[in-house]
Amino acid sequence: MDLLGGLAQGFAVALGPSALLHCMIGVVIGTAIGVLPGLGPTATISLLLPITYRLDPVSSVIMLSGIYYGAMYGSSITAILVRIPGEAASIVTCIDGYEMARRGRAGPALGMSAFGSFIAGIVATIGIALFGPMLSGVAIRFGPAEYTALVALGLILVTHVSGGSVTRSLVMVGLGLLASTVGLDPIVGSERFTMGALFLQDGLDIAIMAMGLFGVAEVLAMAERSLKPSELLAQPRRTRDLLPTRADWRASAAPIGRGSLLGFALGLLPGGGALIASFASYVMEKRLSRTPERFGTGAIEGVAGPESANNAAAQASFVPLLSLGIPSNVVMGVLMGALMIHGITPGPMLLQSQPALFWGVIVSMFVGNLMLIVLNVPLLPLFVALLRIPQRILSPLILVFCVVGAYSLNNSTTDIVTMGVFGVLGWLMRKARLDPAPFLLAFVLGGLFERSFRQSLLIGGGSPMIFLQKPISAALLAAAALLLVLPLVRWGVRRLRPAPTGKAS
Amino acid sequence: MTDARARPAPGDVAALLVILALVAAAGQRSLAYGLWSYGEPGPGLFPLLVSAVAAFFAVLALIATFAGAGPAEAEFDPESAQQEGPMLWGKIALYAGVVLAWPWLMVPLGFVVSTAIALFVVLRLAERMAWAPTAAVLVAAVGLSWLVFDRLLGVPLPHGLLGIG
Amino acid sequence: MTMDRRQFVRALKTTALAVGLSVLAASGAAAQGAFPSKPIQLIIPFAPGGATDLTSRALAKAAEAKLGQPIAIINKPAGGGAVAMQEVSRAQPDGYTLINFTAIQAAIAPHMRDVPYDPVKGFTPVMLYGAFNTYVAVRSDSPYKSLAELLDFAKKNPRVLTSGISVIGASSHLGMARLASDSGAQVTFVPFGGGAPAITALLGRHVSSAVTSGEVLPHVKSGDVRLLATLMNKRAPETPEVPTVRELGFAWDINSWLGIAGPPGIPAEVLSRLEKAFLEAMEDAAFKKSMTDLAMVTAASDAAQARTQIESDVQVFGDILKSLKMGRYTQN
Repeated sequence: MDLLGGLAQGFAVALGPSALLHCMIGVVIGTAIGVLPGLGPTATISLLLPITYRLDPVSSVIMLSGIYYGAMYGSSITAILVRIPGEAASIVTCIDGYEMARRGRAGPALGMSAFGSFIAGIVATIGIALFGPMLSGVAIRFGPAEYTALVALGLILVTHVSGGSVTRSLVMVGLGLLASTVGLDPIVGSERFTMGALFLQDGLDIAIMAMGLFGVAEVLAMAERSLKPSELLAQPRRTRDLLPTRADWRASAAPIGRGSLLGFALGLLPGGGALIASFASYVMEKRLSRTPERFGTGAIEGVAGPESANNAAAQASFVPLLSLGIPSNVVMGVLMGALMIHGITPGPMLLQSQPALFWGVIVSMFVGNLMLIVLNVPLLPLFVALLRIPQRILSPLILVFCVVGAYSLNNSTTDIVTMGVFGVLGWLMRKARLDPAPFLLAFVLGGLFERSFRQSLLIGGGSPMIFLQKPISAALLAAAALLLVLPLVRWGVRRLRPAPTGKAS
Repeated sequence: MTDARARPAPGDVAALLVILALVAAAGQRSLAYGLWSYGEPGPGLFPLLVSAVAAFFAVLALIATFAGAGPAEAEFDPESAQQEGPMLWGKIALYAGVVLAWPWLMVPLGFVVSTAIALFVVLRLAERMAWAPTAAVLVAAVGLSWLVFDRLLGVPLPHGLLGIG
Repeated sequence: MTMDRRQFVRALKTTALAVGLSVLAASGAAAQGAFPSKPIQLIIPFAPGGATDLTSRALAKAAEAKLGQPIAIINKPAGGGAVAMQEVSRAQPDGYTLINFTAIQAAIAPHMRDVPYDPVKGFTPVMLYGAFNTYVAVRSDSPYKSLAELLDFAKKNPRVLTSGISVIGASSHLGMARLASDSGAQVTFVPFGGGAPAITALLGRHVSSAVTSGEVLPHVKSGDVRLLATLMNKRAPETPEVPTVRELGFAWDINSWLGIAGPPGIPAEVLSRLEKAFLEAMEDAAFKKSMTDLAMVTAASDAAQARTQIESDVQVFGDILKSLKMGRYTQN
């Protein structure tokens, strides 16, 4: 198969006036809606889906993927500026991105997030063009046993995300996993911890909890004492001062490269791939850094790496959708529906029957990411200006948008109640110095973990040997075990041998 | 650790004890859901295991707290560096009360009226803003969110019993 | 105020047109009675983008033209759709609040867990427009060439045959479980939460069979998957060579239907207006295309037939679940 020919055809499609127009519209409205606190890619794309029902299939998918990228960038904007992650993958962006914004460096954080995503987009496009449909096989190699092992590895990584004590992180991981079991049992369908409440049957919603634990809790924390007038955020005004500096680029180059490759590889797997990619990249950069203590206090590597990984993963997740008909996440599920309404069933035949669609969509993502930069860099001063709104006006506005956002996910006021409760809980957690990030990440992984763990046991006839019999899962589990044991060994060695100079951390 | 504080923070201990009580209750419920049936794990196994994990580390954290090895305050409370003065309990109670009461007002009163009330309480009572800016922010916020969500995005915001909005 | 001639004429024309249109609209409304005089709400108890959402949107679009009023579509997937079902069963029976009514929520869910609505007394069925087609599938390279061979293997090797399904209690699961229990076989069901991941697991050799709906068809076309049977009462037009379970000697079939319903007590004239509009909307080309594209079975039932179907299916699915000791009948 001529992959370069396919790519050329893709450019022909994606650079056509209609495709460019729809890509542009998608990116613009995606960013505009995604930038509202609480509305991440999933919510945005579900809200805007009906608009695309009338378009032709290629335009509609190009526009929807534009909305997807736009909303992803929009949710990074809210993560960095007001610490509200629009989706699970931008929880990690909140950590250092928000710290950067608090130190007057919102501009470089936003800029690096856009540039990193763009570079990741190029890497992913090249990856798909080179290996393209060959990669589709990767997704089907991953069955329940392999997922269980991957998620186990992910859960161990989660404990390294938080800056604080590992013990406390693990408490939050446990609670997050426990929260993921609320609702109907994934295997037998019986109710657990629903206390007879209907709305809990679907389980807790990650978007609602994130808005509560981060957005509402932040508003409450802001209200608890008066602000020091001297320490109000001073952000530069000129675009030039808002762009990443040369030092920023030097610090971010390697994280962007590593994040893109990691994101691309994990994004090919349906399920938690993209999320695991984002925090695996964070943990990797923290580990590789010569100054790991800067992480959590506004390190630009902590924004550049995960944002690139996230974007590369998002792009790679189109491969299993278009070549196998496997939607890797809710957004891909919506896209699959959009294709099907046009009579195109994503699956193994798509590349043969609709090469223009396949390559056009792949290339349009690249075009979409370019548009994101072209549109958003001039807008940087505007986004940063949002931080100049006085806190006493910004706080109520954040509340309004969180409330409408929570409502619009399911058109239900019950979700607002849940968000409010988690908001108060989030504030209390903060007072008790418990980090909500590992809680949320573990929550997302918990559902996948339990489901695949129990599926594996069903398939393996109740024997856990299945995890060791499959080579991929055995390898992943070995890596997880290594990660778990290494810090203990290092700790032990340090104990035996007193540190020669300086203070032990 | 030389900078270890001698006494554990009372909030810390209380939080960890609440978590322990919570996971104990969850673990007890899990037992009732069934741990193992027909040679397969039942619905209760996974929640029981994760409750145990949470409980184990909560106990460890509790021990650490009493040993004076609790984590530093600033790490989890980025705002504290920007703030000063005593805790404003009244203000925070108003904020929390508004967030919790909002949805309950929305069902009978509709989105527009309930949001106007919530914003009024926050701006006028909690933030003590003057009448004119209160009115301006209120009208802008309600109008904008209604336009964007109800009109543009077609989200059917609740109209309430009065049918306003 | 000055207005040049051309502008004046244009304004006059517009006014005339507007008056004419409103007279027409008024006479039309009078001829058809007062209903509907305002937009109708159709609540879909599923998330946007799924087969149910897409087909019922297409149907509603076509029905708008017949009713002369817009139909606002609201997705309320909370509580597996139970929240939406409860809301509609308690709504004003004026015909302005309708729900996308499916066998999943109406006939199966009440046997799986406690639901806050009565599937029979709580609703006025308007019509049914089709059903999911469900297939038993294996990989093309699998040794099982027929349903009989597959079930025979499962009988000789109890609990060794794995079968990917969407969720416990889905019509796919009930169908396969009934096939197994009728032939004395034991199958291990592995729920994947949806049809597409179940097929993925089948392709990746993680399970040896799968029971799913139309999403399997592209893999049949590509030659990766072989269909052994359909659980519907007749062969599907897309797959004329796949036999039905009835043809294979089983005395039943599974009909997982979809339709439109409203709250109980809709006045007869309003109901017949809705019934007529939605049944006529089924002639719409875009609707028909959406059904074939999603590999669904198009089959019309009027309000009376829909009621009979629901009443009997609540019974039928209850009996199946009781015989399989599933859902609410697990303990006894």
